[in-house]
Amino acid sequence: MSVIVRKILFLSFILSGSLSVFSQQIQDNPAHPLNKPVSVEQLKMKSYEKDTSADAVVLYDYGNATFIETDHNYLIRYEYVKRIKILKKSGVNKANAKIFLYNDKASGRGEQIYKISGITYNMENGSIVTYEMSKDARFVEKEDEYFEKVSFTLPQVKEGSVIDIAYTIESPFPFKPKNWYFQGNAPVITSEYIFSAPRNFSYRVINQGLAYITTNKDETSKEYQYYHWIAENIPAINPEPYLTTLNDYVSSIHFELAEYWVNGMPNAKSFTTTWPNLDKELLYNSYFWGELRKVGFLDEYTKSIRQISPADTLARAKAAYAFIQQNMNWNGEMSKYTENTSLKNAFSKKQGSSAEINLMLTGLLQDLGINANPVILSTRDHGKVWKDFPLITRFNYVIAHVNIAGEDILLDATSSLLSFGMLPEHCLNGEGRIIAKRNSRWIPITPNEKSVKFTTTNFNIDPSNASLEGTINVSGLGYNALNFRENVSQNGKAKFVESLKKNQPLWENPSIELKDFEFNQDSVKTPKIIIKTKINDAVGTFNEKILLNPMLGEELKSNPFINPNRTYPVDIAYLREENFSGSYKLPEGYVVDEMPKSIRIAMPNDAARFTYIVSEVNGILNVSCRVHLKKTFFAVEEYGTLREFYSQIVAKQAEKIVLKKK
Amino acid sequence: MKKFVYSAFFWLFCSSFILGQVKWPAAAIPENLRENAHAVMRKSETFYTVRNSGEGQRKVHYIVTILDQQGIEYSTLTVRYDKLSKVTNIEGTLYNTLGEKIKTLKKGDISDQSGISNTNLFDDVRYKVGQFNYASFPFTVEFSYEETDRNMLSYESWYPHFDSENLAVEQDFFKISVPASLDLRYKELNGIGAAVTEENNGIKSYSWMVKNLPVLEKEPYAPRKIKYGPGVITAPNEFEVEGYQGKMSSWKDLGEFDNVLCKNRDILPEETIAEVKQLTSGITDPVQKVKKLYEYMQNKTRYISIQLGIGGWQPFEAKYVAEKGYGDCKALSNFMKSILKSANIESYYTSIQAGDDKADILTDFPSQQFNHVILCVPMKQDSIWLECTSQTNPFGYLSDFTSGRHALLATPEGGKLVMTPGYGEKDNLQHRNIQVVLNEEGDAEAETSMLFTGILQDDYASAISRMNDDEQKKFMYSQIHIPNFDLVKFSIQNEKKTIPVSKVKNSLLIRKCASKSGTRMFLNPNLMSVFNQILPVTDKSRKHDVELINAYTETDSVMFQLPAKAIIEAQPAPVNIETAFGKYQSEVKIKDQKLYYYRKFIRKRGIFPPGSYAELADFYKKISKADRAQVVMKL
Repeated sequence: MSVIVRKILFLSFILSGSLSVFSQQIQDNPAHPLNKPVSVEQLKMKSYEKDTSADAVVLYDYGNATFIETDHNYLIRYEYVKRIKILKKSGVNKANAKIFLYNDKASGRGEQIYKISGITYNMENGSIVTYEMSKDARFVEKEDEYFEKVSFTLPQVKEGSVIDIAYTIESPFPFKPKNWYFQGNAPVITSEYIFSAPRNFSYRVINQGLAYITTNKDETSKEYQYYHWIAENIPAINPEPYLTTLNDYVSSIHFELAEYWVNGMPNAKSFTTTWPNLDKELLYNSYFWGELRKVGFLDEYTKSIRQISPADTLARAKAAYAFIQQNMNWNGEMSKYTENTSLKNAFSKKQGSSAEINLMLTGLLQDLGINANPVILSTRDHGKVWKDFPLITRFNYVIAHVNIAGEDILLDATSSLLSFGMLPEHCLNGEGRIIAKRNSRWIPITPNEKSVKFTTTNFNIDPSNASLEGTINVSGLGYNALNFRENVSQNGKAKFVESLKKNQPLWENPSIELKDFEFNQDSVKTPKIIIKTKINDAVGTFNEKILLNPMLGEELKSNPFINPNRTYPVDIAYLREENFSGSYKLPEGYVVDEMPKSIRIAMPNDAARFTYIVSEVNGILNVSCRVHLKKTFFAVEEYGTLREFYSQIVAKQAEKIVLKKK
Repeated sequence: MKKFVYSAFFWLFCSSFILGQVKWPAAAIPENLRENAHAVMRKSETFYTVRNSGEGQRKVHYIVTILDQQGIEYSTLTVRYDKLSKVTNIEGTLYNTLGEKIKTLKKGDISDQSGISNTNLFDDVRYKVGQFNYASFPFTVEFSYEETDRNMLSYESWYPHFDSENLAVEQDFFKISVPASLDLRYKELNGIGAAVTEENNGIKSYSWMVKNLPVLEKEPYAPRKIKYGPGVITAPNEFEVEGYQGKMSSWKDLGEFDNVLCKNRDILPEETIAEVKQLTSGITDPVQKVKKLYEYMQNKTRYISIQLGIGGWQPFEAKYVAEKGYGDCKALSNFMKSILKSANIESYYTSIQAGDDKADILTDFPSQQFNHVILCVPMKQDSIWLECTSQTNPFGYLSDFTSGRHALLATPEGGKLVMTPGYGEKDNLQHRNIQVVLNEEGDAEAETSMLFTGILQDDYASAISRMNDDEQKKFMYSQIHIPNFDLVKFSIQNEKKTIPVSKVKNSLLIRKCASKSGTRMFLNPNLMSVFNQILPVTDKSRKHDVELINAYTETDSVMFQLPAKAIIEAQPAPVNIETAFGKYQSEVKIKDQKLYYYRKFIRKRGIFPPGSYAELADFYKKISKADRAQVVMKL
């Protein structure tokens, strides 16, 4: 026998040996940790050494997905077993489970749940006592038209209990296998997932957060494709502020169908396996391109737009954008397809999802002879787009793209307060994909605006009653202006003014005027808040001296990054700039005794800047302060510097000025 | 007379002509109703018919105009139902701005949704939801439906404003009819007009009508009892639910019904009884016995809300709780009662309206006004009150969830209405004792030792029981209002007493505790208790009373070790303010290069006349000012 043959034999021996592990159900493998009885040590365990703060720890989490061939379909059977240790009273809610089963209305098929079991293990008087969940602890209910909800809870669960939860779901939807999450809100000691599919189904497997995976096998037999993962010592995942979504960071596995073939089919059916294929798919999708071409019903409403010279593309595009903004109200739904209703129907109701509104806009722009195309994207809450994997499921939103005089402009008409070319914050997430008849491509979704705030004050100091009198003008550009306007449109002017007063306890009967808060697409104005007020106790007096807080309550009251530790990067969506410029007329006979030093601080690589300048010229005291964040993404390693940067701002802005008599 | 007939005829002719084409034009809404409104109820009719003691029928018909996006919730019809009620004949019509009919509600526009809240594991509440998904403002929707109801522990209550600041009402009508033999009890609230009554063929009817109500204006610190605006609450004299009969014309009767629902549901398994015997053997003091058994119950059970059984009113059996180790408030209170019974201690199943923002029940109107059950153990001295749904609650402590309000005890002699203990300014304390070492740069190290009691310790107690260490640290950061600091060390300890105590210790590093400019340093000696509540003041005169719900006392004692070179140039004068709402004192003293700051703030509770609002605002403003006063030092 040649060496090669022997090698092959040897290999196949190994393969079949390990394959037998794959194909085995957990109950057929007595050596599996979950088939070992709960130990006295586990029951006596008081805390989890790798995370002493944990109120529960998942000792073992197991999932196994296998295929079952039925007469006319394939089912995926998901077998789940989980063993959890309850460490503190606050952890007992881990014994309550809610499982949602999907039902497809159109085909009448749905997921089924079997073999629900729950066992509680307690240490009672020195011995292990078990309690099994009975059937009356299970409740089944129709959640809505798509989901059935199964809830259950285990008996006699208390601090110290170990619980086993197991159930099996059969799903008639092999086209979208369920994800597996190694990580959750409790730490996990071992997480194991097995996925085995017949060779006539081919999946693309996407791993996110591989750091904890200790076993990663992927083997093929003649009939089956097997995957096997084991991850160990996975910490709990907890939310932090200034984050896109935790989903971007959770350690997990996702499956996407690449192609499948069943008996009787001449060729395997392929799914969007390349970006060009995905683009093409959307061009033929009747809820996408198909629907956006059906905007003829708009003709009678848009005659005036057509009066605009076709040569003036920009004016036409602006008019079309304003028209959709004014005529459509967003129902809050984020979507990429017009599944619920036709564009025509949505227009008659004046209400629609992001897809309905922005595909309508794209269609209208195309009808007006403008080079416009839809752009699919994933919103911040929805998570990153995986550019390495052409998956339509990673997108949940659509906006419009126009190219005018060589310039790319992105448009979202879901809000009537957005200026032409400005996107709402939820869209600002990496890149989107332009879907076009020719040359579909990626486009970076960079905000064309910053958030800029100006506060300008002009005050006279009255030493006789320790007060200031004068004006404060606040105005905003970009996202700051948008936030002002959104606030007023949601809460009304009266409440907005009230909230301004509430933040400034020292203002005495202020008159507050809101100017240019109305939004007009044709002439976008800066919203202004004009405040005339007396401010009591803005100055203190002592020994004939005057003590002045130059920031007048506009100072940052606390560090926005107060927590000393950070696990995930900071992502603030758009650049920010805050400008304060205060001017004080010194009272007759007074001069500056002491004032803060002017300073400039910058973060490394000029990522952020802070300047604070005080000067006095001819009896006028000027304070100018500027905080400028020059990037939107700060890696975990930069968090300490960012925190320190703000810490210095807070300290500087608290400094005072002293005036004395000549 | 002839003239009258003619004009009436003419009016009828005109209106039918108009109504035939255009029904509810938005333009017809009177200007005074549009002010601050986001929706206007054009017309609403609710007919509630009590067929017999066990069944009622509700017929609802209304037309509402949605003025803008903020009123959009009113364009959706939401009808709650459960297995004791049935909703039929849902109809709806959509009208455009001009009042022209655009669409009628189709089957596909009505969905059926689960009503289980996040806090409940299971109940049988569901909702029928009808909507048009229309948003061309203003527009009008008309809805009607019928419902039969066999959960007759309560009848219909009617509040035209729906507790909303957004809705104005053009016309709203409510009529309730009952067999004369049963008759009706009702109470008119917050200035609604008197009922119109009639009696025909043994049926008695009561009706109310309101017209032209502008939006409900909510004033800060308005009494909780006026929250829903004018309305009527009604209740049966006798009722029947799933074969159980009861009476309600007195609190005694209503408590008696609780006894009926709990009857024979207190049987415990032998093992539990044996455990109870063993646990209490040797204990003679009855209070200690109850305490021991309460802690036993807390360790044995957890709270899971499953709302089923006799319209959600009947507790699960004690045996069920013993077997499962869980239950809802009714089941756990009944379980605890059964445990105490097996130790020969009497206790009462107690119905209460729980929630820190809830007004007390209407004590002169016996009816089902409760949402929670606790247990009362009568003692020679003070009764012991047991909250049975918490595994961590201190023995006998009610917190602001159930304290200081009326509750209905189900005693063997029937229902008795009593007050639960309230917590006053001596029970709710916040003491801070802080030692600070301040350096010449204005940076400081601080050691704080704080004590919180009563309702002021609730957040800390819950941090201990619900949060892991990381979350506790984040929580501590959120509780300390100093601009720039690092928490070096912290500890939270909790003493479970009838008035529970939390002790919190922190070590802080404070950046620029005092701010510097040149040779001067400025310090706010009130390091941690700066008062921030500023009441909005308007030109409009106050309509309602002012209600302050909780009383408490804050004391601060802060000692600063000043830098050796620092010379005090100025310090705040002592402040002493006394008002009907409480007392405030603050003072700074200097001795041996140490600065001592003392502050005491007592806030009283109570209901004060409308005119006192301005005084309260002024009081708060003065406190806010005093709390910000600066010390000036020269280096």
